[in-house]
Amino acid sequence: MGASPTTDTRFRRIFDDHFDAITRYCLRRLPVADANEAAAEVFLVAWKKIGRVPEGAEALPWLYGVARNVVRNIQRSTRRSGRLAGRLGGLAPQASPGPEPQVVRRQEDAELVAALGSLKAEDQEVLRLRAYEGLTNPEIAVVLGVSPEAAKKRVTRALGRLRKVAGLTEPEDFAGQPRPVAEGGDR
Amino acid sequence: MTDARLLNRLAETDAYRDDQPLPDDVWTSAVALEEIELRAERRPGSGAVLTVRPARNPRRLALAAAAFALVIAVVLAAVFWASDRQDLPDVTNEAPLTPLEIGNALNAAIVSGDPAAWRSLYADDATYTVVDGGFVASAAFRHGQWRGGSSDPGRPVDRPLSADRGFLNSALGTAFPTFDWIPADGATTNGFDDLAVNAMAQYAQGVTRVWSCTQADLTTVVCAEVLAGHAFLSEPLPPMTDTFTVVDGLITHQEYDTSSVFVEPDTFPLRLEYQNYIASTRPELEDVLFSDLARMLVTPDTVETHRQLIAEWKAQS
Repeated sequence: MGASPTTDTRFRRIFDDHFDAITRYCLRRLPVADANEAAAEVFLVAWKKIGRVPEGAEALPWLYGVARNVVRNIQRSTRRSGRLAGRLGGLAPQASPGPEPQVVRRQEDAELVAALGSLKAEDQEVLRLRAYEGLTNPEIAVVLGVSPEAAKKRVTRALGRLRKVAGLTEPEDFAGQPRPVAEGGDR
Repeated sequence: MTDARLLNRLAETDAYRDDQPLPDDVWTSAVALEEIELRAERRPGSGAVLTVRPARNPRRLALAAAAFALVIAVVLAAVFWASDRQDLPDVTNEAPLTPLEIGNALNAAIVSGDPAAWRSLYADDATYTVVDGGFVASAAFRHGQWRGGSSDPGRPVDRPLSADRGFLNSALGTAFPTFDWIPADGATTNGFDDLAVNAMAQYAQGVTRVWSCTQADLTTVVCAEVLAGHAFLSEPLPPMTDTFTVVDGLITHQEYDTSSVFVEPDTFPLRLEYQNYIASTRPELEDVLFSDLARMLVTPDTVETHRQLIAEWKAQS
């Protein structure tokens, strides 16, 4: 490990390459203030575990795995403080902190986002990793700490549940030009 | 709609796409790097809770104040909930989990249906022992089938007797013919997968709390079964405890003590009701979800279906 995060060459390369992606990951799941803190925390972990950060293309999924845990820690902490406040004030516990509200361009987008938000947290996560972070199934496996086959199953199941919740049975339910995402886990 | 098309549609809802500028109040890489430097100086050896740095300009003052309030609330909450934590292990926490934390993490992993998190709490060479009284004999008498070391309703019974008997006091790495719940551990089935059937059956049955745990000493936590929220329990649970030996933050031995139980909790009637509900509403699933009369088949492929349908059955009954 070098003298500091700023001067350590390997850390700086990892940070420079992936700071934007990790920040966007956190923003998709937390309010901006928490996302800032979370992104910094992810790279602090990377700095302290610099010997365990994989080389090359595997570094980003590894960082996403750390980010996933950091985000969950923040959400749990907020839930706990919410429960405490609720108990003291006779209020219902607050929900997990989510990302900032976004203006969606189309009604069907809003419906799809709402359907995604109604799924279990695990299903939401694999779908966001696939669609938003653009990860392949093997990369998702690294993030979740499961086998590529298990990751593929989770994505497939989550898609099935999303389709069911969103009432998507007909191809014409959604129109528009999609951003290219390949089936089967290979970008 | 194909999976690819659905993913494309989902991708279009992303407010933080790579080609979109980030909001103004997002830290720049320079600010973030400065923050990381500060944290590295303050916490050279261990990960910890989030800290708050001094506000760097007036616009961030409000953010800093909010974050400070959050930290205070977190500290208060941590103290308040210290005796009742159900956290999963924190990868940023480098200290080994205490036995009590292990018990609570097991609870959380089971309640959230996460077999990988559950498995990660055991050492690879962990062992398992059942101390049973009349439990097994009662189960065999009542249902006409030998059930081996456990009578949990989700456990399939299509295994050879010798394997079941061996399970009573065995190393969890021993091979058993069951379902592979944790493919990441080498794609083989073993005693962990066998135990995972019970854990995931509890998840399927809507259990919201498995145990109430008390740390007995530095290496031992004793967890009394609670099974709160269990869909098929209609009578008080008899005393059953799991005692976990924990070394370096991992379970090295689990002892399931049912020696004072001579009549097992009878979940059969409600399981049968559930099966009848499936038979009448989704007959095509009955053979997939049940291996025998009122005997659920809980596998990685059926556990979520069971959970959904049990909740549905419970809601309408």
